[in-house]
Amino acid sequence: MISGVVTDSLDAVMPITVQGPSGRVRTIDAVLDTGFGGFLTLPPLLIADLDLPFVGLGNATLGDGSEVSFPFHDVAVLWDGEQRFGFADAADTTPLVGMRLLEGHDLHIEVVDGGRATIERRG
Amino acid sequence: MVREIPYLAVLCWYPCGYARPHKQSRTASRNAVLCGHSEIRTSLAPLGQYNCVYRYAVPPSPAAFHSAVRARAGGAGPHRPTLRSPAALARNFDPFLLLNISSRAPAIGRLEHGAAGMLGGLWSDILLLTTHRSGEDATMTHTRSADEIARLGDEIYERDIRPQVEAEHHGEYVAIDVESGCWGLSDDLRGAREQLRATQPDAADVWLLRVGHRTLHHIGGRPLRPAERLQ
Repeated sequence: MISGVVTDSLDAVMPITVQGPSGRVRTIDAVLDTGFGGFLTLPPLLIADLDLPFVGLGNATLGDGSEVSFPFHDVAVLWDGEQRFGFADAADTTPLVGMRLLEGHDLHIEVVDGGRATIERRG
Repeated sequence: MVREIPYLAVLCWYPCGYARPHKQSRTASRNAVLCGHSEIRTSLAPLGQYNCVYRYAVPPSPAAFHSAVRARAGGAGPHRPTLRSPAALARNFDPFLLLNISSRAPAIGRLEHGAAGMLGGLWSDILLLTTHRSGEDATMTHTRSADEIARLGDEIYERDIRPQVEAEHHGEYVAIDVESGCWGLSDDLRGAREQLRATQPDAADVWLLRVGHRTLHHIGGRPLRPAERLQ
């Protein structure tokens, strides 16, 4: 099980450990975003620090309906005791955990300041 | 005499604030007289407006370059150095400054024969300093602009791929090398990229898309379906 907290702005924040191909790891705070259909977003400087391989460009739809192209990078997430591989969108924002990374898990959030957020693998 | 430099070997790059040199810099540029990262930082101290530094060598020929890469075990793998034409570099970096590590001779300007020629010498070790506005640009390793990759990728998809995949592969992912037109298809994004990598391991300008969808995914909202739109 992975645990996080809900902030005073009601963001559910989780510590996430990401790993580059050299084995270097960084633990960051990421916001759970059920409106994000991808795997993970990471700031470009963190992507550079971990030397995450560039895999290509692709479009994503933003909340206002606009379409923006993002660079995608290979990334491994150390997630509840196992390695999960996916693509990270390079975005200069707070890292976001998307529904692809949450796939196959139960999510419970106490949506109050200081509340608890938990992610648990199903079955 | 000014000598034309037809290609540069991209050895590594140093984003602003990066604490240590890339592993690549110790393995891939052994035949260049590499100064240490601290020395590079010292050299760059008066050049604070530049926030990203690339390191290049000028090989005598592509064959010599690839031979040198093969000779170094550290050159293998996804981060092996690649060749880029000055024209491709000039598209991505404007303005920039070239700095010869040995002589510290700077040359400000576009990467044209004059600027590159004065730094010349085979396998000379050249730093290219750019003025990226944010770290986002610094992580890019493609040679064309994002707009051009999108345009070419969509053209290739519409012309060559859509008729083959639209009916039976809805929702699957496609990775297109816009340089060669080669592409991979899979039910997940990684699989599509791996399929493409199998035939085009050096593909740099790759466009990713999803069959039957306008975008790969949504961040904060998905496009409305026609039935959901107000008439």
